[in-house]
Amino acid sequence: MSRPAARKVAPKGEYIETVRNLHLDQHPKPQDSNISKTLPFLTTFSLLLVTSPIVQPPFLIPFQDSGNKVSRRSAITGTANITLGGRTVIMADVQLRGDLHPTRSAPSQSGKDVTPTSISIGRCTVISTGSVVKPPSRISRGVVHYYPMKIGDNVFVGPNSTIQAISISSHVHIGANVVVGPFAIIKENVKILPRAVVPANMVIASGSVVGGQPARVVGEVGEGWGVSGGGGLGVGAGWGEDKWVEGGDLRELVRSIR
Amino acid sequence: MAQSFPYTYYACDCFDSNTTTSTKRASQVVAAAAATEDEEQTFDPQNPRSNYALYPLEHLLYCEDCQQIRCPRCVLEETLNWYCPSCLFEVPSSVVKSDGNRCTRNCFNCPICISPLVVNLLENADADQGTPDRHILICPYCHWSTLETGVEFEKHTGVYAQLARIANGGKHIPTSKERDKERERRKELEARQRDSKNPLSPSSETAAVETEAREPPSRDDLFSNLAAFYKSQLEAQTPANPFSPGEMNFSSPSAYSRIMNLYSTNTAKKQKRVKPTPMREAASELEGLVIYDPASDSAAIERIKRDGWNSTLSPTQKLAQTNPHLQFADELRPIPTLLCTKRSKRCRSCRHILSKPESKITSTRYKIKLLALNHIPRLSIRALPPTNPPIPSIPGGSTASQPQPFNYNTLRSGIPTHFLLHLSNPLFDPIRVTLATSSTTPGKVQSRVTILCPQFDVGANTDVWDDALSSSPAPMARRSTINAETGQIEAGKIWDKGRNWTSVAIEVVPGFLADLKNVSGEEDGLDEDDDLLEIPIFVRLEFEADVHAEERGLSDSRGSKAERESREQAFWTVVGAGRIAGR
Ligand SMILES: [Zn+2]
Ligand SMILES: [Zn+2]
Ligand SMILES: [Zn+2]
Ligand SMILES: [Zn+2]
Repeated sequence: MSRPAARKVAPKGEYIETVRNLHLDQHPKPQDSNISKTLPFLTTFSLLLVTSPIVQPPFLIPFQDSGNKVSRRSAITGTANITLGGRTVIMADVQLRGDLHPTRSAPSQSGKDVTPTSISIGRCTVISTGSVVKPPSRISRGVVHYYPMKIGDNVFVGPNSTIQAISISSHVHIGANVVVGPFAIIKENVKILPRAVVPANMVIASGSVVGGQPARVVGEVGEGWGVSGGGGLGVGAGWGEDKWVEGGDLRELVRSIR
Repeated sequence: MAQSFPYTYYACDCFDSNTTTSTKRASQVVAAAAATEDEEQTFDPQNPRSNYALYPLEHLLYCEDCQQIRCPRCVLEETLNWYCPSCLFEVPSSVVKSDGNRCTRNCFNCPICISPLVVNLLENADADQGTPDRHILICPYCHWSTLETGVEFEKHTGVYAQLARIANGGKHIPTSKERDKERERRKELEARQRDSKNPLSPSSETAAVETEAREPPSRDDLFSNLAAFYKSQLEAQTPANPFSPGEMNFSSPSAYSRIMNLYSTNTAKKQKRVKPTPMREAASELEGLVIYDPASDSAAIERIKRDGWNSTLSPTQKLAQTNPHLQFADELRPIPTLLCTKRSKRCRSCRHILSKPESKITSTRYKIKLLALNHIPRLSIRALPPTNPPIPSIPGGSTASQPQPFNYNTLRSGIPTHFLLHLSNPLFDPIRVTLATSSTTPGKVQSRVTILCPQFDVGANTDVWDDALSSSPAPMARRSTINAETGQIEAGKIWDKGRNWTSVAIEVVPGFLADLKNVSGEEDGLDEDDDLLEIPIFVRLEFEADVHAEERGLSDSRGSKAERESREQAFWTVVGAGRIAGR
């Protein structure tokens, strides 16, 4: 892939490691005018690079290990409205629509304009290739209003899925080619089978397995959901697939993606 | 099976081994044991019964007292509480008893597609003129709405209670009190007609005319009529029941036996004690008797002729309804959401609690959770990479730069294929493992299977740091390699090992699907999933453990002596290695 000629020295490889937050929370932003718009590829790219260790602004923690991995080939818009919790992976061809943020401005205490968050993603969450993450919207009096979306920790989103949930809790495993409709609420420890279509507004109680079109509860995850056998780290060391289990801690999976 | 390859299922032998029959007589147990000995043969994953014995490891519990795997078949479940999966409100057990296992708030499922319904406000153009708001339930998936059955609501809350009063088409559903009143009124009317007229005169005709004019009784009407009839019968039998005044008491044993008496032949049992006089059966519509009317069938046929099959319901749609005898789409009712439960689980043979979640609905934690995966090694299978171990690929995450992942769905018949069996040990003691399998897989398509190193040791699951701190790493002996010339893997040696895991190679020659046609002489002797390459593997472990290892956490003070005992554990597993490609 021919990379855009970046102004800064880019690290090698598919992924750009970023520090904790894409969203430069509570700090003055260098390119405020551009940020809330749909950013073209190049701008996104350079913005990400700002957070690379070489041009480390003083207010960013140079904590490389907690860095998120964001593919150079992902399409992220509205970067300022997106927070990534750390060790989170955004793969190639993923669309994160941070530009679709709430317009109703919340009154801020300091008097300054607070950037509204549209997508917040927790720690060790993996958004696989080709998935689209788009905040849900409602039309009221002819105006489209977007609502902020929250995704928890250790969530796996399979390839080519479309996510419009209002909230996804932690330890959720979403299969490939899944559609999660607007305003769906997915509680903790849920497994969504591949090709499922979760209807709008559906609430999926914790511990459920859902599948089908439309998705319905087809079972329960076992008591051992997310528990990697052998207690903690190191099981199956040297064997990629075994180091993580569905619904479990995805740290090892995140580490193996490069 | 929808599971993607490769996978491993563990078999719980609770059904076959009769371990749960501790209450059986000794002779039976001996007989059962003899029977199982006879049946000591390869576990057949394609046997229809196997479906009920195989579970993924994370679904299995472990009883430390019985030292056995416990599957959903050999545990007892106890309901801790009920809750609605949609609004996540807990429902007290008293409400479940009185109102049934459905959410009585606003949660409904679509009668067409089962997706959860949402309450929508209908556009109200005349809101200024005081027209009240109208709400409907609508399906966000298939767009069915209660407008199609003529049901609207005044408020957006308490929909369940509102729906209970509105019949399809907007008519009022009488409450049980109104029903009682109406029944009494009609009974009196009938009685008066009987009294006033000569019994011989054709009075029944006028009564018939009157019933014709009214609608056929609904299912609820008939139920309440029948319930009232039985109640009156019970009261007639036991005039004074101080414990349940007015309350119908169907569940009392005496009432039950009396009702059952209706259906048993009198000569069946001659009991010495005074038999309760059998009750009369319902004899009229007001007593809950409904007489089959052929006219309703012909009306239904006419309607299907007119509206086509699309107006009828699928069996699934019918069964999801509270009244499963509906025929047409306009009779559908929104389905109140079924409640879910939180349950604790006990060992069926020793009654110890194996899992107990915290009772709070919002909590996902467990007070007790004895998982099999903390006691049973995890066995997994994976195709042996033709070259060096590839970059761990994750589903769908493969990019062009990564090597082509092994396609488990197209195993080639007759070509020896190597897989790795990987066994990781969750126990704090090293284990000696013996794997066994039959040389050919059971089932129609016979694949040859050879485990190249069936006996090996797996290290203890010590702390990661113990491993790092101990200066001498485990000697990497007995590594197997691929012979560069022949492509053969050296037998008798393990493939690789680590702190608490060992992997061994297994050679599989997938069977031929085509052969079957000749053997059976039929067009196609193959059933669905006959092309699955599922290998049954018997796993036997031997290890030395502290006698009270499981109590270590509780009574560490006296455990210093560390009495050791040798233990053994054995179970069947089935590994799904892939699907054999058709020619
Ligand atoms: Zn069992
Ligand atoms: Zn509910
Ligand atoms: Zn529907
Ligand atoms: Zn037990």
